[in-house]
Amino acid sequence: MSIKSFGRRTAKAATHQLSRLSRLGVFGFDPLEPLILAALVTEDPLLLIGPSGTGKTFLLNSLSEAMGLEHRHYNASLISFDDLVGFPYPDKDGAGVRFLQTPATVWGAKSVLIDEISRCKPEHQNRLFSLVCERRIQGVPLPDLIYRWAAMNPCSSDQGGADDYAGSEALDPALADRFALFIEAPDWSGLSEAERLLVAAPAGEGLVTKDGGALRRDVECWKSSFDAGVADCPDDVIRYVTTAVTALNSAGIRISPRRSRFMTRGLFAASVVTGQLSEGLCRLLLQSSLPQVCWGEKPPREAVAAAHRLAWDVVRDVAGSWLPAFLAEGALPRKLEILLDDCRSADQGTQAVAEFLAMSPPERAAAFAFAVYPAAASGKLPVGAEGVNDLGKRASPFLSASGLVSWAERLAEKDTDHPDLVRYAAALDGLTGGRAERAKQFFNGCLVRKCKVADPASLESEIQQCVEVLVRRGLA
Amino acid sequence: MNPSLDVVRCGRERPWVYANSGGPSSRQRTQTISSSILGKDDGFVRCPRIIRLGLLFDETEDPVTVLTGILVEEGYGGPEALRGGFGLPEGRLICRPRAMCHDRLVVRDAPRRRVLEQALMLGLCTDQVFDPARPVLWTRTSLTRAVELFDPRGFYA
Repeated sequence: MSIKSFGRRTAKAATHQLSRLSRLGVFGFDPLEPLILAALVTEDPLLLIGPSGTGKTFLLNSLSEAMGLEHRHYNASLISFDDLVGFPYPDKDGAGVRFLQTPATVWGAKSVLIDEISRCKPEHQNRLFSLVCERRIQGVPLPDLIYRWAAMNPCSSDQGGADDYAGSEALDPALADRFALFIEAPDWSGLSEAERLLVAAPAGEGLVTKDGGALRRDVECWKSSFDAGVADCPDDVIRYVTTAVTALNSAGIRISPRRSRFMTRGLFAASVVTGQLSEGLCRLLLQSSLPQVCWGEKPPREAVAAAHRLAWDVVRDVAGSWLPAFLAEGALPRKLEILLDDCRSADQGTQAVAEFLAMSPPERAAAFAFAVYPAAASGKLPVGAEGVNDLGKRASPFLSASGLVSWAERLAEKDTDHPDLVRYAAALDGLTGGRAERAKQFFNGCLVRKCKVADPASLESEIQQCVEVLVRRGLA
Repeated sequence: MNPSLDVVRCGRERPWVYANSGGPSSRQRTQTISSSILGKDDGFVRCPRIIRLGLLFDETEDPVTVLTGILVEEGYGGPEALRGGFGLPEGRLICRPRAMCHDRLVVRDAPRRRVLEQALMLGLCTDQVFDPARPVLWTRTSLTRAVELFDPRGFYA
């Protein structure tokens, strides 16, 4: 099924979806609206992250009111487990335990908002884990529960600046990975002038959000299309996600296989909501699917942008099929072979090299540049002048290394070597001739540049295989 | 003076010890690494240095104007015309910038032929590559670079 046919089928629903959140009295989230609505369609867990007072809680509570959901709003920093499940008491026959239900217990809820999720005790975080990912509590299923939402401030840092949230701890990566989307709420500086006026106006304070059931009807309509199509998800959606995930992982930004499925579902749902699969939508989804934000990391912007460009090129099927294959290929010698066999112009080669260098971990980019730059400088590779310069800049510090390295020596030790030098020396063991000289030089460059190599022997082997490819083809 | 660094006399082998100076000596070790595969003329991998280039202009002078003036005075029609007058390396070479460079050719004093030869080769260099097939480009950046050129062909030994 193509996304275009889905677009036509859902066009009617999409025509009146603009600024839907604004109509609920929630302002400032318009650019993120397709993803927020998509989360209502997929029913996958959603996490809002942002500074205090940016409307995260208000947004989620408003959604539940507009959807007419039986809603629970818990503050994770104050929560006790009895609040969630109720007070336990034995069955009449003494064979089991029941929970005394109150209006605050989670039983029967259709939507749950766990506010300040980053401020709760670790043991509670573990209990929330099953609520978020399994819709269970204490092992008991919650059949009515549809939506699992959470909100948190950005993680505090050790530095403790003015905008630092003391007590907002990094989320456990395993829990973070159970959330499909991470919506970063815009602060004042991210609002337009019109949005600022609307946010500042006090009208509507304290009123229950009602839209006459419009949002609920639209979500039902979108969900019907989503359910009908998700088993036969459009190729473009799957290709975008798989290419982007591969590229991000290659760049050292870990995206789990589970997340790739979340992303596919989210992107398909968002395209159903908006009626099209646009580049902006894909970029938005990719930027909002990075769990690293939950533990205070910011993945390199260039690497994310390069992954998006690559994946979008795959969807548009530009530059033939070799460039995505080149970038997605993990093994350096195979990557070189793709470049040599399939690149048809120096401009394409330059683009490929630039994107590869931007999105790869430093040691792999350096290894590739080290191995191929002399051939590229000799004009033997299908890479333009800019590409050769890019390779040269990356390779130069490894072709000639000069600098001071330092390391800490334990009190019981004496006359030690740099720990990395010891590891690299082990990888050099048994190498001879030119291979040994190249490897030694490369690892000296790694030491001086403080470029960590996790598996020196494997990377050296890839460098050597690249050399062999060039020699075999008479390009050396 | 910080009293913790006061010097006290001691009757042992070292006549002076610093008392209360903060525990055992630092365990931080350092080592200098200096190695290059470029410019190597022995061993298996050989990427010999072909030439060092670098011109030194007076600070007040515009390098392009100075070189263009010399070119005209020597009777050349333009930078490209220099190709016939000098033997250039045939193939492309690795070009590496020199950070610390104290042996630039002083344009004001040096023989003009040597200046023009270096200017020709600098005009054929990018940041990372010397390419005799590219047009000779004289800009302030290209003429004030200090570089070394290496033959890359021996890298794959």
